[in-house]
Amino acid sequence: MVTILRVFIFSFAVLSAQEVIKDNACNSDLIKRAKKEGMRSIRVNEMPRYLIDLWNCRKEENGKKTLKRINDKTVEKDFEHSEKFTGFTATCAYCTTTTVFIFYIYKILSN
Amino acid sequence: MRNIIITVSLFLTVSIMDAQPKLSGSLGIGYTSPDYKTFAEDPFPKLGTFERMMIHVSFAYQFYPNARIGFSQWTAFTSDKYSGQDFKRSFNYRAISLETFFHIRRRIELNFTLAPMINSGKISMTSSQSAAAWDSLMAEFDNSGIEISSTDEMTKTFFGFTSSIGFRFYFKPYLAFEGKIGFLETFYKNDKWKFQGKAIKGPDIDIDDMPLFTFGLVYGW
Repeated sequence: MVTILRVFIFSFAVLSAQEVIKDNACNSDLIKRAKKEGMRSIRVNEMPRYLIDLWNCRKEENGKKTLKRINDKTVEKDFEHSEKFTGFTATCAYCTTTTVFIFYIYKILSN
Repeated sequence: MRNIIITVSLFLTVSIMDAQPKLSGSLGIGYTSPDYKTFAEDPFPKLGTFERMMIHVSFAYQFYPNARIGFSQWTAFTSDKYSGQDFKRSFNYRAISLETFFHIRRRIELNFTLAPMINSGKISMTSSQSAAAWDSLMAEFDNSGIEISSTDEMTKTFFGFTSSIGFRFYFKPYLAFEGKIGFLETFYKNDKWKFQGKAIKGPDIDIDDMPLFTFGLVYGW
């Protein structure tokens, strides 16, 4: 029994003494996706994991560069998606502009 | 009915959780110019600073590449004295907003908001008074000179409409400064205020059509 215990302790010690190679947090799937498609590609349910990865990535060697790249990519993607009005959105914008314009013209004239 | 509401809420929650999120919240200041006319013998508390400079809070969800739907609230309030008593007056302008937008530059966005409104007004006062029953009870315990205070309020709900043109400058993809110019159109009448369940007349104030300038910070992803 004592021998088995000794072997177990020795094995455990050897196993736990092995150097753990930590993954670079900036290489996580979510960070990679954010770098490629912008941070708006991350879903709400993935957000906690993404924020943890992002926090860990900050400390890595190229962390700041990675964060900057994600931000730049997000700005670029936002610009691509809403550079022009699509569908009904132009109508809404025309209505708004007209009502605001009429309101201020009326105010100026009534004064 | 309850089950339908729960099902719809669950569906919306799951949809939002599973969709690519574009949620944002904003905190800022809205400037407007209401006119509170004199209507009583005692001077009605004057227009307070936070009745011109309203606190603005909003939340929005981007449901389309160029459109957001959301909730906005401007809160105007003042606290003053009326006939020596504590007086509070507040108006909440609440809007369900439809906002369309486009980026004129990479970091600059122009947006256009149309929103129906459900507004509420509240005037409350805390007054000190004496009550014979309380006085005799206090006297039995050898107390004297204790004043009883009572607070009551009159409330009003009225509809309106707001429209504005705004711009956003994005410092970061998740943080932006926003400025908006627009107007508030309300259908306020001084009758049909509620006080202790009864319909009464309220203050004659001019908040029918007011220019509105809103500034603030937007945070979201």
